[in-house]
Amino acid sequence: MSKSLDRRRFLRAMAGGAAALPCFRLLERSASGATDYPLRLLTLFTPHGTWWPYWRPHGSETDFTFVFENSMLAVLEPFKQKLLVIDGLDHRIAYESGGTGHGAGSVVPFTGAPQIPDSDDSRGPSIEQFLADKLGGDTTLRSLRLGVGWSKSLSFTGAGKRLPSENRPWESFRLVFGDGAPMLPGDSAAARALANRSTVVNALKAELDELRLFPRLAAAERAKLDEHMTALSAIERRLHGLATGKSCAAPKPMSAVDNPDAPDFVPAVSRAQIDVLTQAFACDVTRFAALSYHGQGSEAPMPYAGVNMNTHLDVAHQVGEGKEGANLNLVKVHQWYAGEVAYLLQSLDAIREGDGTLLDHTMILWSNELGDPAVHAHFNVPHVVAGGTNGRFRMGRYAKYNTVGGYDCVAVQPGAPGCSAGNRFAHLDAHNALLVAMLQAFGQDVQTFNAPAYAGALPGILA
Amino acid sequence: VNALRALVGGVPLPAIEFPPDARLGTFNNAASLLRVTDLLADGLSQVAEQLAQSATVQLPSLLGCDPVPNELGCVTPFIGDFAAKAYRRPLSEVERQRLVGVYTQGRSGADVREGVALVLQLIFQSPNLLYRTELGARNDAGAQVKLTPEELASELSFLVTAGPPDHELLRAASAGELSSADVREAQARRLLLQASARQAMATFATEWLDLGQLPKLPKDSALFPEFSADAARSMQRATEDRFIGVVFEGDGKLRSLLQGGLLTEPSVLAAHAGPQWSSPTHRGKLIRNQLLCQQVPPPPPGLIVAVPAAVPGATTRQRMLTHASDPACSACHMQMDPLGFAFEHYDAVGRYRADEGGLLIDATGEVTGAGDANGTFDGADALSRQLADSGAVRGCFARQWTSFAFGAEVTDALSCSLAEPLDEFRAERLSLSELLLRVIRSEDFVQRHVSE
Repeated sequence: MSKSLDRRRFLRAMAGGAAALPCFRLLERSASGATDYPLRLLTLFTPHGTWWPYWRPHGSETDFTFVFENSMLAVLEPFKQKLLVIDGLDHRIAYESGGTGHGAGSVVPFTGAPQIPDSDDSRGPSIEQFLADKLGGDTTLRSLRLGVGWSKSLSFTGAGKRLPSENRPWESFRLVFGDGAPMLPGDSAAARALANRSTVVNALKAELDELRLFPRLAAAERAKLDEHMTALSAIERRLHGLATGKSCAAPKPMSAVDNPDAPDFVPAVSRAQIDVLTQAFACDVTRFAALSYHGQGSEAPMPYAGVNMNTHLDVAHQVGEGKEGANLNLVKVHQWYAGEVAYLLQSLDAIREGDGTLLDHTMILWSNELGDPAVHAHFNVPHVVAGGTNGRFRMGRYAKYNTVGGYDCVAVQPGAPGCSAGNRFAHLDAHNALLVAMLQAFGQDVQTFNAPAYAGALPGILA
Repeated sequence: VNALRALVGGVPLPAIEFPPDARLGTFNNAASLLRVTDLLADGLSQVAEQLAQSATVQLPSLLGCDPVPNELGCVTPFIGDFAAKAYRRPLSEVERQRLVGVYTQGRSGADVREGVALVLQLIFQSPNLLYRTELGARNDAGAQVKLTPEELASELSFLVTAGPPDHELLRAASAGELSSADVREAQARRLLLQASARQAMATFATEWLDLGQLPKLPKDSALFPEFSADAARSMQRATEDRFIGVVFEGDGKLRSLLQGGLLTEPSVLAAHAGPQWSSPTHRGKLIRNQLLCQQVPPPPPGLIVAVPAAVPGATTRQRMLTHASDPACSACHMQMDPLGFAFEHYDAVGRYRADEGGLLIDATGEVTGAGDANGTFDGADALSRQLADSGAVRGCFARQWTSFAFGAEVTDALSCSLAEPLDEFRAERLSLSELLLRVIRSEDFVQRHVSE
């Protein structure tokens, strides 16, 4: 069998796979006439920093456009009433805690917490895990974490441990829709299968408890067992979800491929992951999700974006004033990402919920590892909030913070106009303020998140 | 994986990425060790379910008795024996009853096979199978933990064969013989003759040289159409075979490994290279970290880290030197690049090249800040000889291997009884397998300290 044949079959399976799923929860909900839709949260990560002249919209706060030559976000023009473009936030926690480049860049975007030195871990949870712990109680999956193309998860547990993400759409599909048909009333075989699985999970929990009783178990080892216990509880919760008919009907599962991360498959994988994610929100399987594209500092070529070269060394690192060749390559990279975001917004917007759509009841934070990629710096990192946010945020705006002096000043140009030589860092507001505003939008009574030094919500953002 | 394979010989194992190690001890251990996250727990439960089904296809031969005349009389002892083998220790009465309870649940409304399958489903994902404890007896409360005989058997077996203890080793454990260093050595010598011992050594080579990621690395398919995950895996196997050959058929000395060309194995050079270029930085970092046991800090914040773009007429070396001419970059790059230059005759997939697109290759460089490994060289062979001559490099290698063996950083507290064998390896008086035997004989092997 030829390789291309396999690939065609895979793409076809993807295309036909998760497009239109019947949703039990949704039907139930509209039948009961409920109109109170929960707010969902998605953290969305893409790497490589940006080049601001092609990222910033043109115009004023409320009258702006993405349509101009070499615009990275042009494809988002139809959605701009449901977007909030935030210009002028630093990932201050990264450089003020001694973190560097890609390492801290893959920790701070959704945690606002320092990276633990020489480790993959964070000094606090990511925002979607924090909220999932507080609010994710009655959904089948507490959170759903998906990746595309050699990606790295930016989700961290309450103890700051990095959580893995699922890069294989057919597996994320199984996580969301279960292994087979949902259980129907009177289906005794399915009921027994569920009872059997519950028996096994209960026995596993008992065994784990016995291990935890060892008096001299080291603290870090005990934490591992605690995490294992949490994982078993997650399985238990899914079993319970299946037993109570809370899950969605599963159509045909998608075909697996050998290496879903390879550039050949990335476009199809991206769409399939977005389809699963959309249905997981629509069916209320989960309310908290994360989606990350490629890893921080990804070197993967992106032929599907017209950039068939090392996107880290030969694109991102070459970006700068007057380096138009590299800048335009970075534009292509970001235009591809923006296209996937547009597809996501379109998919969410296609699902009716009451008088609005699923997109109206969703908040997406799209963030990045870096600001200016050539300097590995966490200054002015591009942030876009998307979705109707249940009306909690003032959307449809291009919000500029810190517009006075030194706006695009970076540490390596201390002599540049507006750049103070004595204060190389800390030009702009900390993005923790945005995370705090998001937590408040989700009803949390907090003034700080993971970093007491940066208190308060970003002004002017909450409705 | 090997623990599962030993339980269900002959049954094909489903594909799942198991974490490398899973010890549960009194140390606050290395971060790479097993963490059962929600995704892994889910994967394990799937695998356990499939495996339980396929393992019970031939039920009578699995049970070793006929369940028809006396069901519980046949099944109950089987469950106890199977679980004891899987957990690598005798079961408590509570555990035994729990397992029988699971059998009863699976059996009810179904048949014996489904009951047994449900028990196996539990055992295959049990924390007692997944984690290897190094905790000693439950009632032991001193600052030193003496491993139980069963823990010692597991420790020895996983170290030598990367798998669970066999019947003979378990027998020695339950007879209380493993407290004798001579018995441990004899058992280890016996196990070293098994094929699995070679695979265990290959695992170390892969981790030491950081080759595991190779099949997943992005390589430019236009430049290297022949590179694939399969090709990467066979490159990796070739390197493992070379390593195993020196350890088991050769003299087991680091000198023979290095001078025999281990560092110019295609898998080593491809694993430490970019998608298109050779990357002297990554290769230099490998030498710095893994052969000299020195750490290089990451780039500081706010630094221009743009490596000059590929310019026609410039070699990779010239690009890197331009980059490192910036004083802000040179401090770190000079610790790595000059080491990596040795391998400039090898491209991004580890193939030899006489020149770089028609440009002359300069493979000279210098080792600095590394004690008796210091000095200039020209090319990979010269660097390999230089490293082989260095006691610092041999000492580093011995520490790397011992850390791998213990699943923990070899600290002063740990290395007390290990100091002598480590020194002897450094002085080239021991081969790698002799070092292994000395470690197994040591006091540090049979007891653990409790960390704060």
